[in-house]
Amino acid sequence: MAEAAAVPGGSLPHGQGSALRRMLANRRVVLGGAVLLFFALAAVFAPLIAPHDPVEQDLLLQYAPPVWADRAEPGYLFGTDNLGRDILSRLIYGAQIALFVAVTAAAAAGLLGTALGLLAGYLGGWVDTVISRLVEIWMAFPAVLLSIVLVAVMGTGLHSVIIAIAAIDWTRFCRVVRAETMAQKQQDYVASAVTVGLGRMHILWREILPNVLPLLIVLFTLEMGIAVIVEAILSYVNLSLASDFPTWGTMIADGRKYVNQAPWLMILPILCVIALVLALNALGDGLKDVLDPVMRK
Amino acid sequence: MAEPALLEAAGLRLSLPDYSRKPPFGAAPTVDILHGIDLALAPGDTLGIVGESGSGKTSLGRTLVRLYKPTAGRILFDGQDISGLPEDRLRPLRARFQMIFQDPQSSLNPRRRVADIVAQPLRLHGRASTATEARKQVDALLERVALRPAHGERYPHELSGGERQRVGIARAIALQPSLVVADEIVSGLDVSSQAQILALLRELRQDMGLALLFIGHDLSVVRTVCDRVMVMLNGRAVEQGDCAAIFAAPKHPYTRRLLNAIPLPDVDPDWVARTAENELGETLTMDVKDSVALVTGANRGVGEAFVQALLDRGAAKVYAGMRDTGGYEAPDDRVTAIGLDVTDREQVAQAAAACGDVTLLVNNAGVNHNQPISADMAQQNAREEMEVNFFGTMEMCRQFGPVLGDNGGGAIVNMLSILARVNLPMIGTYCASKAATLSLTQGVRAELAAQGTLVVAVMPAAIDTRMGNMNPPPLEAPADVANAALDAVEAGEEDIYPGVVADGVSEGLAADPKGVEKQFAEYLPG
Amino acid sequence: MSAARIPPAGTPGGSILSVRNLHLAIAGRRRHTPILRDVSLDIAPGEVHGLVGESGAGKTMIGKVILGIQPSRARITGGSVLFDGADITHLSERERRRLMGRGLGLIPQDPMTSLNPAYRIGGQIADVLRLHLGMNRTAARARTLELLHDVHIREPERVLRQYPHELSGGMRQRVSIAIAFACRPKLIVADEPTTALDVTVQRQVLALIKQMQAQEGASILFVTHDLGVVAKICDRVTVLHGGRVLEAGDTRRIVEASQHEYTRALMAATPRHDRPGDLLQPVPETLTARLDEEALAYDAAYAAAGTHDG
Repeated sequence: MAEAAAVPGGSLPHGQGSALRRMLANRRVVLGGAVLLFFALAAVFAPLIAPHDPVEQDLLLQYAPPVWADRAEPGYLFGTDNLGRDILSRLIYGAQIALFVAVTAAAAAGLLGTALGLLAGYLGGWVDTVISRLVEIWMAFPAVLLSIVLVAVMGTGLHSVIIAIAAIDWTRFCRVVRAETMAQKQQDYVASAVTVGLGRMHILWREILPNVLPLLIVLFTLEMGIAVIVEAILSYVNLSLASDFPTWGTMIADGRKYVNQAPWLMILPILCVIALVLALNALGDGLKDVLDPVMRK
Repeated sequence: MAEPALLEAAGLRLSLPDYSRKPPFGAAPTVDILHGIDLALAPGDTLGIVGESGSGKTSLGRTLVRLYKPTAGRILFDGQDISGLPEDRLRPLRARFQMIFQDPQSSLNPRRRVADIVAQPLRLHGRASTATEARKQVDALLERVALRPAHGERYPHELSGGERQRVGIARAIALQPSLVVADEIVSGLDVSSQAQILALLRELRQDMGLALLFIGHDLSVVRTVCDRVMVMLNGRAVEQGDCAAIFAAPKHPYTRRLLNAIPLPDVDPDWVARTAENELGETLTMDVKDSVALVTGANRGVGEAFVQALLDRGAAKVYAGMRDTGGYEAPDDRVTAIGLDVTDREQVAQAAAACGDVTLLVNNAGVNHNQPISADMAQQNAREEMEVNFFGTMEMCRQFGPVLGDNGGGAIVNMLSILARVNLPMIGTYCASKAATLSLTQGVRAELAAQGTLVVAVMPAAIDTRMGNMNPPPLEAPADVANAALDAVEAGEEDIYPGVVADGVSEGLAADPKGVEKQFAEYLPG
Repeated sequence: MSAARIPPAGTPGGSILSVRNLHLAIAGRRRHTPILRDVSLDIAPGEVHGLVGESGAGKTMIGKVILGIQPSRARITGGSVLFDGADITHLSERERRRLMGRGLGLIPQDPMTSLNPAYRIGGQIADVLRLHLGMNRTAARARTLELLHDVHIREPERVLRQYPHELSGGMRQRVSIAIAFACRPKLIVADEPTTALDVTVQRQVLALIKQMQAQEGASILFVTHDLGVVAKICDRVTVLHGGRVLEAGDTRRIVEASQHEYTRALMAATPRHDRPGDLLQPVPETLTARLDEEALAYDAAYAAAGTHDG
């Protein structure tokens, strides 16, 4: 309709290469990505940048306030906690755990959910019926309760937390991927792949999956945000790592007891959780805007 | 057919699950899409499949290339039955029949470059072993469809509609198939790109000796591409043959409607007005001459008169249906007596199977107990009258509807009575059954309009038969009623009132229905 | 025959709609992309005016400008649209609302998108009547039934209570025709109203549009790519390419003895079932290339002139 002045054959190819350019033009992607990168760098280089050992106690230095308060202790940017441990170092190591859980749990949930979703959506029939019913029954359980029960059964620890999150949230991937696969299956490129003589699994993995991928990237990002929160909740109720290990959730739980004397003990880890989750959500939403038009247009 | 067919389909049926009505557990109910399609295509031949939305043309194309598995019937490709072949045994054959899809936007994987899309069949079927060799062939194919090698580097969404369809064609011809099914491949294009694509298709067909199955909704396009054509309606082929013959003299009313509906670029200000006069398109009419008729209740009264009138007008064959054929003497050797009790569903179904050539159905059988509603037997009378007059007619229409459709539309004549429009108190149950049958007739008319079946309701006053009647005089001669009914068939009239009495009553009803009702209520038979 | 009641072309005084030298461009980050270039057309009262062109010709955009629904990035860079003698290109939202319905109506290409799927048919027609004509509930219902009857809907009472998705494409298009004519507008923009329909339904819908138009005396701007439809329903035609008017005139003259090479090429590219022997002639690429060049040359000239005229 609106291409009157377009010179025939003159349009420039704008495929994969420009997807990156459009991502960089999206404010939410850039902002979310920057914050995520900040936390990721902190996590990766934690041993190098953390000024102190996160578990080292110094009972002479309890409740040192952050630098912006009076009586601040030099060398302890965000102050110390009830046992005199350096808050900044604990936050940095906490980011390590938060991101590790986020990535592995989201990946595990994504792999399981995507595999089942692809099969259900593409094969249909009884496979679809079985998987869909399983998802429905699964989703009928309250998520937080289920995760607590799972960790309680498997015993506390990081691996339990990851398994619990994956076990709960694979349904999210499964449902979305199933619906998208069914929509893609209706597209004639799938029919034409059949007429060319491609096998079913080849079509599913090589033709359909690449078209579902952008959606998966978005889902994965959002799922990471959810995993960060669930991990924080589980460590808050002491079902994650042993309490001397610095996770943001444990820090919040510990800080709660001293909220009157030293509010920063609780506020700083909460701010970290909020910042990371907001960043992941912004990134996910931004990516959705950037990646979708390529699919649909 | 002298040449052995490349593609042959016989009695092809297809049912697909309707997921919109799927219950939470268990299988989805199925919908019948194709009702027995026969076709044959010789090597290098072109067959156009034409129909409107819902006709099943796309499903037919997809079944022929085995994207769907037919529920019944055979598909022979080069002599081999592929209708039930599992996918792994079908795969080597697939190289020989390819499909071009309607919407190139959706039929090209948006995540692949054009060169990859065209190369895919080549690599898969071992026509190109290395990437460079594939690329060489791809460039040749792109050039073949008037695209530049540079187009190979692009993604489908970077191409125009016409260019995308060229890519679809390049992929379809990559394996040098002997058959290509083209499904509505120009329907989304401007006339100029449409003309280019059609020219390209013609060229390729001549160069490669392709057989082409061209599916489309536009008869003009099909005419320019194909030698033979098949017109589809509701999953059936209503007409099939050489384009030249069918376009010059379409036999089926639906084909005529389709042809007449196409606005040719000739100035004709009255063209639309001609439609406005008859909302449903042209009037349905039918020649009684050379027709094959079936008359129920043919051994007496009006039925007998119908048989005679049909013979007089040159009907090719008349099936004379009656409960008991014993003692029936056929007036002509064109008449075949068949035992048929319209209240017996099985017998009706058998008749429909046995008389598959019927083009004109006369539902004449009826009973009249001539009893008032106050009679002791009124309940039983009413049931019997409904059984024969209503349910009998209904079953006949139900079973013969598809037969008439297969035979080009045809006509149904339902013998009713003026008493279908107004009640005579002394035979109230009979009147009610006729009124119900009139309503049924309207329903049948609506349902069968699309397949081009004319449905006539005949509503005479009293007829002078040997059966006796309590209607008011004067009595009509049976032959007059039968001839009036056949006139209506030939003229395409839907409701007729033969005789002065019936005519008068119908006019009275139009002017003052309450007055007519009162008049009839006061009438007490002799 | 119908040409007699139409005043000769070029009499803006007698026109219900007069598009004068309209220029429109889509604003981009770096530059404006011209879409319409010096478009002029006149529609007399009671005239059915065809606007023909291929995709990208700008025909839909003209309809949108008339209705005031052009995209927000579209800038009218010159010219005017006179409806009933008054310029309607820069109306306030309030004035525009008053004009819609009573002055202007629309028959869309896809009625599914113009009918609200959440409301019953009866309510949607009645709303239009109550909004523009201030009818009360009873009057609106009576008029709705009358309209549905006019567009040959067999059971208006039943259709009144149905939702858009319960109707077939043809029925939906009948309903949108009823809505377009509901407030007796003077001009209706019909934007490819039959493109999505089957041919047999198309014929009925065309007949209906023509019949309603004759009954109500409205003018119609009939946007289409189909020369066949134009030949059957339009009194006069304007042929567009690349946002430029190539020629305009009486339908018979355009269809039978066109002055412009492009129109003749379009005719030659249109398949017809009654002339199977003729090979279709694709529109020559040299011709389209030349037309594109002309358009670009015009842009340059217009831009240069614009700096002087102000």
